[in-house]
Amino acid sequence: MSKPLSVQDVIRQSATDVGLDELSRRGCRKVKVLDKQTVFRLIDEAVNRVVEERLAAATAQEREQIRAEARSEFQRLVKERQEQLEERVQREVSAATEEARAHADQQVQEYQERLAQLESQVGQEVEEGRVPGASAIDPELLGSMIREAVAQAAPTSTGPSADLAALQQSIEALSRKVSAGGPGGSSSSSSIEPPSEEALQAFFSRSSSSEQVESNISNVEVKNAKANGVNKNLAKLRSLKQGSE
Amino acid sequence: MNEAMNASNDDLDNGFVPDNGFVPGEGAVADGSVNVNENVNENGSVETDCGAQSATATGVATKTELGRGLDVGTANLVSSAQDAEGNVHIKIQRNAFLDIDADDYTKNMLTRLNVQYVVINGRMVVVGDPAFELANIFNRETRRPMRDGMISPDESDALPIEKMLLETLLGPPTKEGEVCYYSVPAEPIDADLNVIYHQGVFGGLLKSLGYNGKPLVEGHAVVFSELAEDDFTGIGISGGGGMFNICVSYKSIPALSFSTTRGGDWIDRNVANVLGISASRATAIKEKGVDITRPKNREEEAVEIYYRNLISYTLTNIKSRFESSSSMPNFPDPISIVCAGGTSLIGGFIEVFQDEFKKINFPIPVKEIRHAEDPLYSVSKGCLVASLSEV
Ligand SMILES: Nc1ncnc2c1ncn2[C@@H]1O[C@H](COP(=O)(O)OP(=O)(O)OP(=O)(O)O)[C@@H](O)[C@H]1O
Ligand SMILES: [Mg+2]
Repeated sequence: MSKPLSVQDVIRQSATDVGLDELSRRGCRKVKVLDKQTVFRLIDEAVNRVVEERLAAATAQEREQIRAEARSEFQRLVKERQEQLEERVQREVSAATEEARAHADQQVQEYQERLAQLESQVGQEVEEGRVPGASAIDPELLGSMIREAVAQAAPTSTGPSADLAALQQSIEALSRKVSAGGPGGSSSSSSIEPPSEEALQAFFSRSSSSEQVESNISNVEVKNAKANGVNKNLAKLRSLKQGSE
Repeated sequence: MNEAMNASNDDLDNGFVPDNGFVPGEGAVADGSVNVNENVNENGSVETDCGAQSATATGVATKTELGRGLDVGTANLVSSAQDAEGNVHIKIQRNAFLDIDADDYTKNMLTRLNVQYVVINGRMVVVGDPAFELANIFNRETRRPMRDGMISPDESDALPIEKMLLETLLGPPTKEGEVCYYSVPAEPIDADLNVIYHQGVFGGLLKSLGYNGKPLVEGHAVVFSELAEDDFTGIGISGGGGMFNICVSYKSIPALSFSTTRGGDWIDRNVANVLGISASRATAIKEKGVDITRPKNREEEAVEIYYRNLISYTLTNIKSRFESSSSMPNFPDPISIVCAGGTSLIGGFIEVFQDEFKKINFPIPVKEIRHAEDPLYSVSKGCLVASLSEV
């Protein structure tokens, strides 16, 4: 559909500005004045009349075409309006989100940096041959170190931020033990790993019980899909195992 | 957390059978036909514990067998379970999220749109598939908890999001401590990435959900799901979003596993770069249905070029690892190569793979290069096989 007509624009484009001095120089003593509203009203009336006459004369096909054009123009306007709205919402949303996130981000980042620092520190020690490889680690010993560290941090936790603090603390405690050599004499690259698992587990199991989470997640359907069965694979795997015994 | 470590690092090359490597368990194999499950049915759920999130095609409530499979991928998280009739049920979520301001307007809007959300520290977080769709509406990029096959160190919200996604995919275990094998990348040969940290994180997450999580290297999982007819001997390849994972297996035992950090995302980044478009636009072009043996325009040609490059890179690496490994078993018969993963879904993938294969002098005879049965679900199903075989 063609661009909608703006009566105001048409008037503005076709009118000329003439100063009062110029008018009087031309000998005009009086001018007839029509206010803008009246002009618009008159034009509307004229347009309506023409449209009515045309519609009366229009064939069914023409009428259908006019209706279709009107409909698509209406939809275009609605869409345009919607897009403007969406754009505005998005702008406002991202501005507010940024701010709210900055604080939490910083906290978590500090923790991650600490962890990364520890990892690289230990990694370096391994590289420099100051510690034995993974096979020399006593997992029991490490496990107990972690549990101890996590337990030490646990009582301070009262909410999600305290959980984070507890996790941080457990890592600090562990790092002290690791850099101090710990029981058994040496640190190793894998000593970073059990803490991740254990401390994370402590973090999550606590945070899920203490945190009030507002969510609709349990009511939502997850995409399901087709898959061929695996019984023949299982049977094969088992027979293979029996054969090798 | 030992299995995958042993199966994935270089130690393997010295000792053929890993100390704590995967050992198939014993137990009865449930008879039953292979079935297909597609429709979501809120009332007839398979895993009744999971409430509305699971369903059967028939709508009849059935119990699942003990043991789950979980594919932890950069692009997708895929869970699998088997019911008493031998039907395999798959659930899949995009590994992505989006955070938006938690005002009432947005909350109402999301509720009306039936979008899953969680409020964390005053922010609304939309996770999984809806995050992807919403990001498109708002013209934003989703945030991704993982990058290059591992939990992302740059994404501070990654862990709680992953926990939530796993909850929607697995639900609570049927029995406390139910075994769930989960996929982990093998040691990457072209990046200095910490697989062990990543592995520990997901082990911990599964534990907090009540599962006994056990890692399985991704390529090995492909072997379990796709190479049964070859006595689990051959090469399993999983071409994912962040990585390619390769496992050479001899009678179900991994002889060589490694990964490269080039996958679908790498193609997207490069295509975007040469065409001067955004990466997500490149993903859209790629997933739209390109056939890389018949590119139709400049964009598709770019996709073809990088696919060829990626495939030849993968083959060259397999070859050189074969040649440098001192403990490669002697394969008495020609082997099969199976390709799985979302990146293998592009039209013409196998043809181009075969084409590139001919160009290199591969060290052992290969009888067949084929596509996986369910490329997107292969890894998860392989993990399921591993779990079920332990019951
Ligand atoms: N039809 C398609 N054609 C081409 N590529 C596709 C298609 N569908 C999905 N992909 C690509 O597959 C990739 C995702 O595959 P997949 O789900 O196997 O990866 P992942 O397991 O999540 O990642 P990874 O194993 O690397 O951590 C993405 O790069 C995606 O763009
Ligand atoms: Mg994968």
